[in-house]
Amino acid sequence: MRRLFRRIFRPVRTAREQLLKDLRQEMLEILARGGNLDGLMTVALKALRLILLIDRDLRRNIRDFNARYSFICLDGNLAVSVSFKRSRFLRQPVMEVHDEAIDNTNITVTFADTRTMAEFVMSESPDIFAGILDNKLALDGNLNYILKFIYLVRHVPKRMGIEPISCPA
Amino acid sequence: MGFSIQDIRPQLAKFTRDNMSETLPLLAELLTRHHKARTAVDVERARYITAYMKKPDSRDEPIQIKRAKAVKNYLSNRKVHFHDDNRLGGATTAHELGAPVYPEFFGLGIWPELEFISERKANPQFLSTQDAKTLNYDVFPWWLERTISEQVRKKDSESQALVEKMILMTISKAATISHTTPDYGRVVKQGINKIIANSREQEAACGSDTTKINFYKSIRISMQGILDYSANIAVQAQKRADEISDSAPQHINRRSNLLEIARICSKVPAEPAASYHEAVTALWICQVAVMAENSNMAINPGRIDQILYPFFRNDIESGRLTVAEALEITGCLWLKLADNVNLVPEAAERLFGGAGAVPAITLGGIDADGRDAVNELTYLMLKVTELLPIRDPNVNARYLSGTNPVEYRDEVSRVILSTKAIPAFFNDEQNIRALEEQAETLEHARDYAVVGCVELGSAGRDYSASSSIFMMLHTVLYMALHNGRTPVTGDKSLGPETGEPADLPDIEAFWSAFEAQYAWLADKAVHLNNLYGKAHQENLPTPLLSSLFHGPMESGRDLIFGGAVYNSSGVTHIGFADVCDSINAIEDVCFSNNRMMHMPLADLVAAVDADFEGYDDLWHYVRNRAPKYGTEHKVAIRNSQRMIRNNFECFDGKRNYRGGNYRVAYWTMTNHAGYGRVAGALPNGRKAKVVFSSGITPASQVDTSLTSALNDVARLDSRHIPGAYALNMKYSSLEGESAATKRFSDVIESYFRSGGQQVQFNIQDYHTLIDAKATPDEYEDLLVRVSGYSAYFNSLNSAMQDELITRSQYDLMGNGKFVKLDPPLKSFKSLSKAGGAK
Repeated sequence: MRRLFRRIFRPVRTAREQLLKDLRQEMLEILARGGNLDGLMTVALKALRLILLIDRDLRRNIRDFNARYSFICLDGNLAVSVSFKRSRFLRQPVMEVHDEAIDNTNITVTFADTRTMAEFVMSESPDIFAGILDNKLALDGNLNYILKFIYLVRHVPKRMGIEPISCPA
Repeated sequence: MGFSIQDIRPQLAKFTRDNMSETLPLLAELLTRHHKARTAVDVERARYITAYMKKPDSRDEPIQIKRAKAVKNYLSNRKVHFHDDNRLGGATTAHELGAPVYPEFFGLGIWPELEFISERKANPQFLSTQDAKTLNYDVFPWWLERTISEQVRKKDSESQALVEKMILMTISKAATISHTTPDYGRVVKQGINKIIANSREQEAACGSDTTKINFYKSIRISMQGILDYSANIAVQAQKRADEISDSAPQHINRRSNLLEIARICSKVPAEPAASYHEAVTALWICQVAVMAENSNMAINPGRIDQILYPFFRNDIESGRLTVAEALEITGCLWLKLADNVNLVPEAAERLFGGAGAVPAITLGGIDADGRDAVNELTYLMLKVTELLPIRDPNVNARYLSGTNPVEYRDEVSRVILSTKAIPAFFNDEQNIRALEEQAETLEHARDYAVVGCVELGSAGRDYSASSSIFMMLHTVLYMALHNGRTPVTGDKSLGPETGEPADLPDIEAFWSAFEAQYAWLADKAVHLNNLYGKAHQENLPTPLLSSLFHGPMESGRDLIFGGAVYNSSGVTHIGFADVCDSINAIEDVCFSNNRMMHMPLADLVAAVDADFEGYDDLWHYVRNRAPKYGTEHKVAIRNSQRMIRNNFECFDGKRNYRGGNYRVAYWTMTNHAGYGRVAGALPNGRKAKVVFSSGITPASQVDTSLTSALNDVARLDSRHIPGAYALNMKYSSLEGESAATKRFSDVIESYFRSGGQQVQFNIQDYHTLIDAKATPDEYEDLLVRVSGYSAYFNSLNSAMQDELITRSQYDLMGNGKFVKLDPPLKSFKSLSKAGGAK
């Protein structure tokens, strides 16, 4: 039975790995372009969604975790959101990515520019306090949720094999 | 029979750091271990507390009982560890040097770095994979909606948002219930069984008042936790001793030490102590227990030379204790008090890292009747401080001129010169007067202990919460110069609209704006502090700590509800000297008949906002020619005194959530470096992202003299600074011990007679510290005074190291003349705009 399941789901797994590679490529291209980092946040979040599907250990973090986040960037007029919930179809917790701001969030993070937004998802150690003090980042909501989210998102550069963006001192 | 107590001091002279490995080999070994120990995150407390909170005995349990049971769950079940051959049983955490996690406060701050904290560059704190999983899956998720900050945000998100802007103020209650001095004397003298019996009697007498009944029950539950913990230490010590069959001398010593721990812990703290060793053990176990309930920040043993003296004297005079043994037991206490540090998230580490847990010990001074309280144990503890120059405990020496002997003042001075940093000096005359002005009785004020860094509180009577509020004076100044706007609110005024710079025609108008902005911020800070206090009342009562205070037992009221005799909260300030000097510059350049440099306030503000780019002449003028606090310039004296008075009067009359008052103070820990690193330029010529001056200390590198600097500080009215201040002075290295000691001691006398409250020292010259920064491996254990506490230089972030390097240095033996840092500041890359912490 287990073997049968493996055979059925092998193409799904392969497709996910391929998708992850594609997202990695997309991120590298955005980073190589330099300057405007529009889109990096969305791609990184999609990567995190995929990693959570693939990695059972990491997925344990979102078991019974119903949370909603919005990320807004002022200079690019960008908004992207994520929500965590249990998928009836997959019978497991999942993360969804939305290309817009959503209501009833646990926390909304507003970035001054796309660079700060990119650092948030792609740096070795995202520093929200430094961001607040430098007037580059504002939080509205339960701070604890962003701490948990940073824990999750720090897996993205590592898992994608991409050098983290270094934050300016 | 032993020997006379008067024979102690000649005996102490025989013990030095050089001969410690022969005379006190155990302490020498423990000191080496202490320096080698690396910090580990301790999850045991978080695990037990969370486990009980998740599944309490009853869902309907009152929070008073629930909290007591959660703490008991930890104390009764935690593992007993013997990390070394220390003669005291018990440890703060499961690690040799542990950082306990308090998830109810800000423990979740390390969530982002659970997989990295062991390897981070700045002060890594080891966390095993298993413990990281425990926090990630079992502990932190439960607290997501339940931390104290979140409880407050749910009630008043607008006010909480002010704190999260981080530049206005800090409300420490988000991170801690702490900064107070319990009455360990009652445990040492009476034992916990007596406290339990008292709680039964009080409960029987309180009728049907369920609040009081629950309070007394909660005391018994938490006290039982301490008894269980002590009994477990005894059992484990006995077991370990039984396992040692080797007859090698070191194993025989270890076995007898364990057997003695087993004997003592099966007796105290349950019963009254009958010996010095028992008394020290009882005190230590209670200190551990207090930190099981409350955060490990500035929980202070207090005046232990007074508490422990009767036991010491009896043992010495009866021959049960030798001086060497007393030094060893006391040294063991010092090293135990240093067995924990705060859990520090990476982001906070970059800004504020390097602090210990700052348990303050207070020596000397006078007793409640006004008599000289310096005793032979005071001298013995000073010797231990000299032999063990370690970060914690924070040792402080009280001194009252004319009552305490000059020999004592000289001995404290000698120890400071020997350690180059500790202890700090406190002036009883000013501090007792300041506390009396805060409605403490004379007897209670005389029995004050230093809290954490420098704060004051009647020992065991004042639940002082002395680090409640940090006011950012540089932000107040910015708001006064920008019509109520702040650096993080853009064009929108956050504070009152007190006028644009062009609307402020004279210095009085400017002061009015400054005072209005300060008053607005003070109101917000008090509102928030009280909100946090109420959140503590609803979620985190403190039955264990309450049982170790005067007041709660009699009134049936927990400390957190105002059960103590005194119920103060502390308000400290960041950026005092820089803001004073900025006001001096504003007055001098914009509102005086200055012919050398004159401009409208709006132009000065524009220059400051441009970080003086393109304003070189102005910058040189305000840096070098404008009046400066610490130089005895009449304008600077007037403005510094006005600021002190204004800040005091603004908080005077405000009440905290426990019905107590707010005590204004000026100490900064490392915050002056951390916030300086992210703050903009100031009118005194301090450029953007440069550290502020510490505590009450005049700004660094101001051309002055030791006498002028001390005089200006001493002129500040201590009645307006009831929370005390940290004055950080740096002397060139001193040669010739006795002459230097005498000069050093005489300067203290003179400064205190002039009205100084406190002073602490680094006896390090610029170049030693520059070298220490460049070659940290050669200065591994270099101890320095920061702003109220001690730290290892290498553990401080780059900004704080630079602040210590650039602090003004005075040549004590050269008439106290100021020694200029050469080459000057600009040669330090990390002090330039691009600089930053490690």
